Amino acid sequence: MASEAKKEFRTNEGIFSLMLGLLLAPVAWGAQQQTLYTMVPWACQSGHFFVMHLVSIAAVAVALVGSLVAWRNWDRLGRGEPGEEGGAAGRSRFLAAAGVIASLFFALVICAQWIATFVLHPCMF
Amino acid sequence: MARENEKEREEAKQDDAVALPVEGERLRELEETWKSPRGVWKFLTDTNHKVIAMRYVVTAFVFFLLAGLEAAVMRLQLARPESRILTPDLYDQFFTMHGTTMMFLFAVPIMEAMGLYFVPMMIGTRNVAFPRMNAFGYYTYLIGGLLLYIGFFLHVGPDAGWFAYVPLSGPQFSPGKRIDIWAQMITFTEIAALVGAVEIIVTVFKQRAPGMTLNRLPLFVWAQLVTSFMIIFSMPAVMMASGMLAMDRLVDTHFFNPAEGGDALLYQHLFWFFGHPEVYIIFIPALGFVSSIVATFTRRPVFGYLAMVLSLIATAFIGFGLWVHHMFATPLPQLGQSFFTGASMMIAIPSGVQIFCWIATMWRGKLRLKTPMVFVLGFFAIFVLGGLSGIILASVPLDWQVHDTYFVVAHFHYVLIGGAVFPLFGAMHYWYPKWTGRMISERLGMLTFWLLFVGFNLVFFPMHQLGLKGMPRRVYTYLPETGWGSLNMIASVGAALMALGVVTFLANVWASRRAGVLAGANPWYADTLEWATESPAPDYNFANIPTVEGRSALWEMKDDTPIVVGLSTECREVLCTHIMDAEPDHRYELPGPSIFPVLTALAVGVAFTAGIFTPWAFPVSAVLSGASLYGWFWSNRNSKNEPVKERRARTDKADRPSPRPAARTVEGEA
Repeated sequence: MASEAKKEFRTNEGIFSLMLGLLLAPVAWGAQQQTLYTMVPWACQSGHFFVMHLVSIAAVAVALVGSLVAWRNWDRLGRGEPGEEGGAAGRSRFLAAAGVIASLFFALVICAQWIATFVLHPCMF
Repeated sequence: MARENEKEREEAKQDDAVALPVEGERLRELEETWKSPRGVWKFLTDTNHKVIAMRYVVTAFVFFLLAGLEAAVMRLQLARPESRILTPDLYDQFFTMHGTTMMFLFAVPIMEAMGLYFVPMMIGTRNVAFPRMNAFGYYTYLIGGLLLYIGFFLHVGPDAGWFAYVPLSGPQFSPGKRIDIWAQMITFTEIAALVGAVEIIVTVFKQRAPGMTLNRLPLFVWAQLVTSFMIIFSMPAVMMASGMLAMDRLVDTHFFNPAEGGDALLYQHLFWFFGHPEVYIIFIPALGFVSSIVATFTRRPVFGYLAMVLSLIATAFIGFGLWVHHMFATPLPQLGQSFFTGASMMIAIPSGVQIFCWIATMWRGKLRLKTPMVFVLGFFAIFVLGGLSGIILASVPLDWQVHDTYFVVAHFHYVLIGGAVFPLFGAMHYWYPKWTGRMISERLGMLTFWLLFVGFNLVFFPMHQLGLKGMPRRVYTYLPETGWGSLNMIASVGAALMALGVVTFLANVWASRRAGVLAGANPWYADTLEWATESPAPDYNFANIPTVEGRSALWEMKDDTPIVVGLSTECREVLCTHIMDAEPDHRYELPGPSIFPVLTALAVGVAFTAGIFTPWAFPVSAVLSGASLYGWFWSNRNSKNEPVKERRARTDKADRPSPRPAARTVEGEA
């Protein structure tokens, strides 16, 4: 199983999966911040405040998907410690583990930004 | 048929000849191939990464001295109330030149220069990926810096602050050419920064020594890689901002003129979308210095490699989501601002993780308190203080209280000097033996540290209090009744100590260059590959390209660690490897010295300098640039790009300059 996974992570699809696990959550965070920031005047005018919550929920969901992808990759690689082993297995395990932690951290950052929408009204200047 | 067989035999014979460690006659051939030109021609044509990077370092340090002199004059002015050393107009030019020089001409270039010097050596290659473009980058940077300072000495120095907000910097409130010079200087320096970033990214991705997978990259290289991506995503924003400002001023566009449908806040958004990441562009390379120094002077790998790399990546991402915290005093919706408060608070986490990882490394290691390490300890103290005041400023109501006061000045100097300049001085003491072949004096190094450390805290700690007492930044003087006099005097005394510290450092550099103890290849017993070659390193960096068997390449190098064979010594050939796993891919011939990078830079210089006065400069420059680029590309027509051939290793000779003999070569390329 692990040796098959090692082969898989040498292919473009495998590398894409590693990158997805690493980068999906940060991208979700950036998208959430920019979308919310841009939406504030619209939310004030339209009164559709709940849409901002939907954006944050979607962002958290995407970040968690990123962490799941990364976790799945790490699982397929035998859940070993991301050490300094060389070759495809070592760097794949490293990138997969990094993806799990990065995704959870960015989910936390998304939540930190989400808190503001519970506290402040979009029409406050 | 017989002729073909003979040809094949001849080729095989040649292949066998290069599948040997480089030594003896072939080493002399390698030296000849990579030899830099001499004299004035060398200055104009050289493309060796170490030469170009050292020019960056020296030029940036000269700008640092100039900006430091400007700061010293400002501190003289502010030492006492109602001082008249500088007129208000000259004071405006001084603080603008100081900030602009430090940010654009010193901090970013010198941090990138350290990468351009050491990244190729740390990853085990002989030059950066695009050596001529590297030289072009340096010349554009130099032209930009000269443009700014020639303007300043001609009393046409910019005077609207280092971020040149509109409408103050617009045509209505800043007539004349001062701001135009500033805007064009931005373009020059950002082109250079982008060029350097591309160099580092491609070099790291394609020229790593075999075995250096992504999870074995030195933390210094990770830091430079992350920084380079930040440069690529952030610099275009400020080039847009300065370009649009120049167009508003020179060809009457109205991007930032609200009366004609423009938007003044758009300038701030564009500027700070670059400006905040720039803080990290300056700071993250310094984290790489710190990691290198901590590992060497504790004699153990940095604790938590994964956490360190993740912290760098997370910092780079979140660094792009903070810019509005520079704009809390503008009429943006409070909810919109608060998203950036959240992000500003969260970025403290990766920074904190790194600090704890270094502390854990020191805790478990055998600490050697040499000068570079002492500068790192100074960095911890100062940077943590700067980080704490940063958390304060991330809060909108607190930011409003101290906005545009000396509290902010104190904060960003704690972050930038503590976070970048102290590690930089540590790095310069650390890598001095590699640069010069001689050790730098410890005694003078320690004196430099204490003068800078005490001086720095005397200058900037009182500024927190001055800010809380309401002293605004960028005032050329103040009244005695304000009660700011004594704290300002303390700050000015501290500035004198800092100046003395810099003079001590220069004296140390000069004296150690002449009479320092000979260093040898690896005087600190460090773990990264730049220490695997002679000090100073030869033009070709490594006679035999090493391979890597762990994160601490040198510490884990064994007697039978393979070396790369098969690269030609007759041309400037490097080994290209795969991005992910650094497996050998192909051999690539890099171009050698050329006059065309400097000619192209001059052509670009014509566009952006003469463009201040006439739009005809642009078509003229386009023709000149085209001609120069034609020569550049035409002269590169002989480049080869050959796949690596399989060759059998035939020898067990050692890699001559390596600190540990590498006794075995492996098949073909590595």
